[in-house]
Formats: sequence, structure tokens, C-alpha cells
Amino acid sequence: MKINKFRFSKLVMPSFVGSVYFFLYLPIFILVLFSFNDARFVYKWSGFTLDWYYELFRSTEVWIALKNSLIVAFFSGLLSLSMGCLLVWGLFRRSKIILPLFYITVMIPDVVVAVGLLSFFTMLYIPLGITALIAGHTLLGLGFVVPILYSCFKDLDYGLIEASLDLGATRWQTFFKVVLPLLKPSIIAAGLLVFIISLDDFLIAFFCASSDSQTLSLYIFSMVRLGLSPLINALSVFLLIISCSFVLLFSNLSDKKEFF
Amino acid sequence: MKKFKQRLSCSFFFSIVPGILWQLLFLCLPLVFIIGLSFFEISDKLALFTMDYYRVVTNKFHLLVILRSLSVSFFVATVCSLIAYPVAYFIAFKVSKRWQSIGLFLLALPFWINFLLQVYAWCFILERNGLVNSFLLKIGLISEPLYLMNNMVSVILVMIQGYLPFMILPIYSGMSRFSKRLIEASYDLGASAIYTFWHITLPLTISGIRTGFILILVMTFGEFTIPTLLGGGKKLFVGTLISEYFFTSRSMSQGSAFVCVSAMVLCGAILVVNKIFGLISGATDHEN
Amino acid sequence: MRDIRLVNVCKSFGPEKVLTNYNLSVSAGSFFALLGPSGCGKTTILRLLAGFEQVDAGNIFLGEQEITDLPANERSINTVFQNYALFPHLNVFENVAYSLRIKKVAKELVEQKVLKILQTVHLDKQVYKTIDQLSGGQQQRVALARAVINEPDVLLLDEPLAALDLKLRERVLVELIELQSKLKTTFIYITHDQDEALAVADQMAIMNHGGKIEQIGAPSDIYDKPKTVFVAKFVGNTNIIKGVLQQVAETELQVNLEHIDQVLTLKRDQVVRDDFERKFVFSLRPEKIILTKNPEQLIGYDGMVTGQVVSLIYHGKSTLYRMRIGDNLIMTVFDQNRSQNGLNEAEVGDQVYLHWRSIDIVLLED
Repeated sequence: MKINKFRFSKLVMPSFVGSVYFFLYLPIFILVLFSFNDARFVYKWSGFTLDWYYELFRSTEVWIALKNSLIVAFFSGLLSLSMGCLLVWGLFRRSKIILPLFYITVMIPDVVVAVGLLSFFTMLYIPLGITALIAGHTLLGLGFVVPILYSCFKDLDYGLIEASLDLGATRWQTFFKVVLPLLKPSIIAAGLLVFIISLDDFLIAFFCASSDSQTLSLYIFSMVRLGLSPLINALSVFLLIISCSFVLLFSNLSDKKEFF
Repeated sequence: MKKFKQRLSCSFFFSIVPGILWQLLFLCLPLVFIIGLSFFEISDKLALFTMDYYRVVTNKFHLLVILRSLSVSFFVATVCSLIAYPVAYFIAFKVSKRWQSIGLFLLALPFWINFLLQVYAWCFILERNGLVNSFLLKIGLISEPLYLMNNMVSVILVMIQGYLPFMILPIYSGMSRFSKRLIEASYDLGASAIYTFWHITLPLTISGIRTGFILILVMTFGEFTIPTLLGGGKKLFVGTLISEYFFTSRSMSQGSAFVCVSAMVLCGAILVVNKIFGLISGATDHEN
Repeated sequence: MRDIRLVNVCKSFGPEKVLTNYNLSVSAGSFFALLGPSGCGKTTILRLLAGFEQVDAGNIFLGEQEITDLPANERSINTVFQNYALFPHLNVFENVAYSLRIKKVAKELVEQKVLKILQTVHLDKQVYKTIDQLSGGQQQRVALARAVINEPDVLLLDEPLAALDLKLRERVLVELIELQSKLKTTFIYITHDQDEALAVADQMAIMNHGGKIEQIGAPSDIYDKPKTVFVAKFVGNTNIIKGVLQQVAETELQVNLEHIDQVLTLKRDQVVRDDFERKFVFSLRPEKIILTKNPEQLIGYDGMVTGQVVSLIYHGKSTLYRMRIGDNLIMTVFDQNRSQNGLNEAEVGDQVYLHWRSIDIVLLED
């Protein structure tokens, strides 16, 4: 009995878990690996090359898409963060009805949110495009910013705020001088998250973008539709690097707090 | 103290307004719109009340699409539960703190990487002359390439890969609150490993499975990207049909009706799942 | 009931050797306390006995049966965990009935046994409550009931009073003693609190770091006749007095006790050591010393010295004095408060006289 237990927990379990992780990361491995493959449309390894990276740099489409994505991500991040901070400060530990309002975004299928935005814009004759995208991504962003900031705010030492008021600061001064600095790690962490979510978003961009507001995701989508090209692999490596650095920063910032 | 809080609430009313307004305007209002649209036929600025759309949307074709999506979602959620539970168990109980953080970090990382790219990579792997087929042909296991793309296989497989972390994390979260002492206490009282698992570990960690199951159900039910890119377009899912209605054919009202019906079915499914999990918890609790 | 023995047990955690050739024997039906500072290895011993850890070397015997390799769920040993480890999803009844359910005991018998044991621990009114509805003391009794219902040979208690408040502890201590004498199960009680150990034990072992057993014996023996400096200091307070050999005879030794101006006569066979060059070390408990304001001669008290009060701590029922004797020695004296008007016998700075009996000066080995 002892021997069986040993074998099970030392061999079977770890190999099972290992293969699960391998399965989860398989596409990412493939992406990175084949971005260096010296052949077009071929799934066999034909040599190491950086050609695709050169092509990537030269492609104007990619740069335009990147520009659009960055603009949308930046502004939606800015908007959601500022509204989120104000909201959290205003709620001041009393959530009840209002806070759950911000949980709806993640509880509804993404398609419904995207489609809702589309119909909303169409019905009110609001032109689709970058502005519409920013609005939509801000909505997405709020759904993450508010819970993160709120949970951090809740754990703040209430005595610090009282001390600030006691020393003569107004409520807004307290907000800028005490609360915001204390929330800084959470703000940066939430900002990173919202930025990446905006960058990676496909659905809202698909439904609410116009012909001159292609984002990175839409570009990738069209490329995939047209045919597979290792150019995408090269692009994906870059996006991978950005994602990895973001998530490392994020986990460093949230080291003291538990987000799960 | 009361007065202090009152002072705060008065002047901070305005700071909560932008956020709430945004949420209401861009989320709640559109949802209301959709529900409203489904009941009205819009033509030339005129709106006629009609139930026609609902009639259409509840016909055989549409129900088939909904059923297809639902069964795929259930299947994916079940498979994910079965895979995720041992993985979460392993991370929670069988590894050191350091490896736990690494394991969790690796689980969260794919979330930060563009999902489209991952789907694209799967095309690479599953294509007719893709990696899997090339490899299997080369080593002589098969003589003809397998049809792994543009059918249910690829859709389900990629859904599992994409949503597995969403199941592992809630289960892990439940398990991390579970004290190892309880397992020791059970052994101490004479229970075998299997008895302990069935009567102690499982009942106390089942809530994580429930959370993950419902989460995956909701997310996969309306999934659009995966069926579009890997599904082949022949068989329709809820997500692709919705996009058809709103994007391609621009029949908003029809599409809205479909969204409403699908949402109701989803709610019904969630209630059923909750009930089932409730029964399971009840069974293991009060077995005696 | 069977006795339990650890024979030459070794256990390491990585590079740290917690136990080396550890030997312990606990007789059946006794209330045994294992007392020691945190980190001395007593929790390791408990976990080895319960079966949650395996020994690196050595054997564990339960009566004639060797249980060294037996898994935890097959040993007739049950544990009351420090945090009780009650199953949160089961109510009181089911928690206690757990081990019976495993053995597939008949329903009626289960009910009978559970209700009976819950009555014994005074929880008959909480039978169907959930765990979160119980107070700390009640939870502890559920943990007890759950462990003893099995009628194990040995019950291990891991710092059972740690999570309870002071007033409750005394009551629980008494209940534990009553329970043990009623059940006649061997209780092994692990603690770092010497008051608890002294209160409950028939026999106790004092452990030091590195898994070393300093002394085993009845509580009164340990308290009044400590063998080492560690034991004298760990169990209760003491004054350590050093002595220098003055004269050696055939059956006797004369030792000059430093600072307190007394020559002690020791029987030759009392003294174990051969080396008389080193100083002798003695222990004198603070409560064995009487204070007077004047240099009187008290009957039966043959030792006396003068000292100055350096500080005092008033405890209500007693006062603890610290005295300076001569230039170098600080002694503690425990003075019971017998006077009505709350006045201390002495104030800080007073010159007072200490009296003791030479039989209360205990020789310590080192």
C-alpha cells in the first residue's frame, strides 16, 4: 500500500499536471518557435530566420493597427482608472447596491456586451470608430478596475484618513495626498490589466470598429482569415513580450494582496 | 462619527456619478435597448409592436443552435472540471509555497496573451497539413491526415485550452482555505484515503467547482471567436448566429429576440446547474 | 489499555536533527505530560505517535504490537488537535460519529454512543448544532468527544488549552483530569505551559531543544527535586546558587555557598560527579524563603542572610521581591500576602532578612 501511494503521488500526479500545463502553453510555444521558421505557409521547420521580423517592421498596416490599439488602450485605461478612483472614494466603504452594478460586465457573455454596444451606437446614430471603441473598452475596464481598487481601498487603514482630516486637510486634499498614494500599487496594477485587456480585445473591436479604425486584434483576425503567415508569429512574439512584462509587473505589485 | 460620514456622503455624491453613469449608459441601457428592440419592428422611424421575432427565434433551427452551444458548453465545463480538480489539488496540497506561486502565475499568464493569437496557433497545429498531421504521418501512425480542423473537435479542444485556467483558479481558491489538518483528523479517526476524500475533501471544495462550472458555462455559451475561426462555418453557434444577425444582416430586432431567448435559456441552465450542485453537496453532507 | 514506547527514535527535517535516539515509555492508563519550550521536538513526537510522520530510525510499540510502519488510520491512537480540526460541514453529532460511521457501526448503536459521550462532556444540549454556532470551549469538547468515542489506547492532546481564555482553562483542566480517570485511557498531553503540566500529570517529561529529555518523574518530584538547571528554571522560578568545595570527608562533603554565607553538608553518595574542582550548582525556590524585617532566628530555618530590596511586583495574592545579596547575587523571593491591610512586608530599598531551610537547597547536575 505504501509503495503504490508513493508511485501515484510522485509520478502520476506530477506528470498529469505537467501535461496539462504543456497543453495550456502549446499554442504559445508554437507561435514563438515558428516565428523563426524560414518558410512561408509551411509547417515544417526549414531553418532559422529573422525575415518575418523584418517584414513585420515594414508593414504599414501593422503600424496603423498598433497606433489605433494604443490610442484606444491608453484613453480607455485613463478614463476607467480615473472614474474608478473617484467612484471608490465616493462610495467610501458603503457598497450595497452600487458595487454589484460593476460586476455585471463580467457576468454577462462578452458577445451580449458587444452587441449591446453596437445596437446602442446604431440606434443613437453615434458613428462607430475609435471613440466608440474607447467607450466600450472603458466599460470593460471599469469592470476590472472597480473591484480591484475597492478591495484595496477596503483594506486601507481608516485611521490614516481620519488623521489627515484631523490635521486640517479637506476631503479632496485627503484624496489626493493620502488615498491616491496609498492606492498607487493597485492603481498601477489595475492600469496594466485594463491596458492589456483593451489591447487584446477582439469582440468589441469586431462589432464597434469602422473601416479606418482597425486595431491589432482585427488585423490579426483578417490575416488569419486570409491565410496563415509566420508574420503573425513574429507579431505574436512581440505581443508576448509585452504581455509577459506586464503580468510580471502586475504580480510584483499585487504580491502583498490576493486577487484571487 | 455619523456627522462625519454624512459630510462625506454629501460632497462625494458627484464623484460616484461618472462611473455609475458610464455603467448605466453603456451597459444597462444597451441591454434594455436589446430587450426593447426584440419586441418592435422598426421601419422608417416607425415602431410596431410584434411578437413575430420571438416566434421565428423559437423555431427548430434556432433552438438547435442554442442546444448545440449549450451541449458544447456543458461538455467543455465538465471536461474542465475533471481536469482542473486534480491539478488544483496538486497545486494546493502537494507542492511547496514557491511552486504554488509559480504554478498560479503560469495559469494566469495566458489570460494576458491575446487569445486570437492562441487560436491562430491552434490552426497551425490542427490544419490538414498542420503539425499534428505532419507528425503522425511522418511516424507512420496514420496514412491519411485526420480532420481535426473546422469541426467540433477543434472547437471543443480550443475551448478547453482557453478556459481551463478559469476552472482551476476558483477550485484552487476554495482548496487553499481548506486546512490540511482536517485530512489528518480524518485519518486519525480511522478513515482511509478514499473515504476522507469523498466525505471531507470533496464536500468542502465542491463550491469551487460550482463557481468554475457556471463561469465556463456563461463564457463558452456565447463564444464567438473560436467557432468562427475553427468551426468551419457550417454549424452555427449562439455567438456566430448573433454576429450574423447584428453584423452581417443587420436585422437588429431579430437578433435581439435571439439574444433574449438565448439569455433565458442560459439562466435556466445556470439554475439547473446550481440545483444539481446543491443536491450533490446535500448528498455527501447528510448521507447518513 | 496498552503502554506506548518510543525506542531509539531518530527524526530529521532536512538538515535539522529534531530527535536523536529518543526513548520514552508511557505506562497504560496514566496521564502523561510532555513539557518543553517551543521547538524542542514535542510536536514532532506527537505527530510520530499519531502516524502523520514516519521515523527515520527506531521503533514505536503499542503494548506488544510494533506500530512504527502502521499508517495513522490504523493505529489505536487518536488526536485532539490544537485548533480542533472539526469538520465544518458536519454538525456536532456527525463530527463525533465520524469514526463510528467509518467502521459501519449500526445506526442505533451510533446514536447511543454519541449521545452518551456528549453527555459526558456536557454537550447534550448542542447535539445537532453546526460547528460555527459553538464557542471555543464547546468546540474543544466536541474535538475531545470525537477522539475518545473510539476508545483508543492512547489519546494525544496537542496544547489543548492554547486557544481558550484564562478562566476557561482552569475549568477545562479539571474536566480533563476527571475524564481521564473515568475513561482510564492513556493521555499524552503536550504543552509548553508548566502550570498545565503540573496540574494534570501523573508523570511528566521535561524536554529541551534537540529532543533531549532532561527529567522524567511525578510533578512533585520534578518541582521539588529538579535535576538540572534547565528543569529548575523552566518549571517554576528558582534561585541559582553556586558553591565551592570546602572540605572532603569519607561520607560527606562541605560546600561553601557563595554570597549567602552558608556551608552545606552533602552526603557523598548524593553527589554523582568526580570532578570537585568545578563549582556546585544549587536551586532554591523563591517560595521557600521567608522574609523578616529584623534579624530573628526562626525555628527550623537554619539559613539566613541579609539583603536589600531592589524591586517588587505586587500580584494581589502575593508579592515577588528581588533582593540584592552582598554585591553580586540577586535573589527572588515569593511572599504570600497574609496581611489584611495590603501593606507589603518590605518596600524598595529596605534592608531585610531572608530565611530558608537547608533541605530546600537542591543540588543540580550539569
